[in-house]
Amino acid sequence: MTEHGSAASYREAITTALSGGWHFAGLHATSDGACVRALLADVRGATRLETVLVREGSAPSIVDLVPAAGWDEREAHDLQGVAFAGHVPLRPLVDHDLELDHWTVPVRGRDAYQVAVGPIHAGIIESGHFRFHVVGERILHLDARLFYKHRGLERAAEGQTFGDALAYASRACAACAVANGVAYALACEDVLGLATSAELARVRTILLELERMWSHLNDLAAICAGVGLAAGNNHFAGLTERARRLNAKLTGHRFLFGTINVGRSDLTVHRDDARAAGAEVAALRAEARSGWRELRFNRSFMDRLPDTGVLDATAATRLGAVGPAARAAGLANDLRAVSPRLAYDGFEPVVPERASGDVLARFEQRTLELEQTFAQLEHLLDGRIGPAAALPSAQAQQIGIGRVESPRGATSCVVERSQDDRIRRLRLRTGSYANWPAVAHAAADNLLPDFPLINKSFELCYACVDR
Amino acid sequence: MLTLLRDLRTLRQRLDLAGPRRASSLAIRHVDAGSCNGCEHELTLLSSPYYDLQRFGLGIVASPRHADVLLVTGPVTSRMLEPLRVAYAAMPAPRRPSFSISATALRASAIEDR
Repeated sequence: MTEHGSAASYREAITTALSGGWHFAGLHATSDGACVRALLADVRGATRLETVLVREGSAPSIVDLVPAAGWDEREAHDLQGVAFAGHVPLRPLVDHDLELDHWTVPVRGRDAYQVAVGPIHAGIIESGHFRFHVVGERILHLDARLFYKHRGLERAAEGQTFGDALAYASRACAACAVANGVAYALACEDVLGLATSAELARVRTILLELERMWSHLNDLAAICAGVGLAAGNNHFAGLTERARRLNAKLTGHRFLFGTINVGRSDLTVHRDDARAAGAEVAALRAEARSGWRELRFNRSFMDRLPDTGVLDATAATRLGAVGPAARAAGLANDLRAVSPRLAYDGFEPVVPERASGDVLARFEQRTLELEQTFAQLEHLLDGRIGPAAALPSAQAQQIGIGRVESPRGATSCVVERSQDDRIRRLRLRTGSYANWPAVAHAAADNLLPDFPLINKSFELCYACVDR
Repeated sequence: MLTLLRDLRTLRQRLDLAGPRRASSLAIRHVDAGSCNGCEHELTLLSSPYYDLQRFGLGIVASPRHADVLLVTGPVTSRMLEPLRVAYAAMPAPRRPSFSISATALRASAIEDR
């Protein structure tokens, strides 16, 4: 970690890092608002923090160098009260007290009008508000206003022990319970100077892939629902249910809650049960394949997907998009390829042949990634799962970093330790958080009735964004 | 999931709906008031072929105007309190108390009571 006293040296360090192959992975202010830390990562998975001191309530903005830092800086402003010099206009993100024109982009011109949707939606959907600026049915611009579900989980974790604060990370979101839990556990193990054992890496990888399996199956069901194809929706919803039943059978919880611990794993699965689970995974693979084969021959379904909600590689890079959404645009970034603390040896990221960044590419991407997940699970479920522990080896740190490829993309967790060995600051930046600006970008220039489909092709969480 | 389904069926049978709505199907309006997204994923699957919610006379409806009851998930964050009130006020009279299926809503915090 490097600490910068001046704005110039901080911005200089970020500029040099970006041109040297590093990319932005998150930014947060300490809870007292005294400094701002930018997290950078490189393609080999290395991480570093660039810290700048806040002077007279203000820190230098890097949003002109890294547009992906936009939300992070807005959040640090609203929650820790840090102003960002050069970030103009600094729109509120978490703060809901300001009037409409403070948080929306001004749109003027003939026939332009607004459509307000939410926070409560007309289905079983999480709460969030969308402000569409439209002409006729065409979307000119979308302002997403989330954080209706802000529960202050990061603040609540402060002062807790490393073990107790785990719940604030993993219970933030049921759909990312394992990914968030593992990212948090890895960050804490960094702080405590613990190294992951092979068995601990294996157990966590199994859990991460079980989560990805139900999540991607759910995403395919959601895309069918977005098109209005009940048959496809029912097929993949049924498979999602089977995947979640498998979670419950192996771990006692359908969302795998309670399976992750800091420094150890308590999960035990008998050899025969693990193999039976492997067989169920194989059965799910066969049914999933037959499902998407049928979908590809369904003309009315396939007609809706190409050229809808395009997020191309340039925009994905600029906005810092991650996960299946970025890979569908042709960016072959996947943290699983660079996760030495997990059991992903030899993993290679996949991208679709036609990586056009539209709904079709994101649909194809889910099917490709499911194939990887099925294969990985069958390989790892070949034998007993037993208790495992991390080993003391590395040096203890003041700040720990854990990064995990969640079903929605790279999730970064930063844990800062207090003097009495408790949480001083917890920051969880999930794949969904990184991708929401990309959803708004992809929606522009599409028809309003296509937005549900575009949104479902990203299928992001609100819960772990709002925290 | 089966517990959830059973509870919803019991609710339909025991709820004292007025007039012609008595003993008929139950229209449920879902409001997420700050959940962890677990309840939403489970509710979604209640309509899947394994459960098929509607064969029990239970339906999730798109507007509070169509609803007999509100189903609230999550601990009710400060930002969701007003939208929840608006949804409740939009229900047809006589309004029923809303109910919750989520541990977070019932115990204020599933995290501290886990």
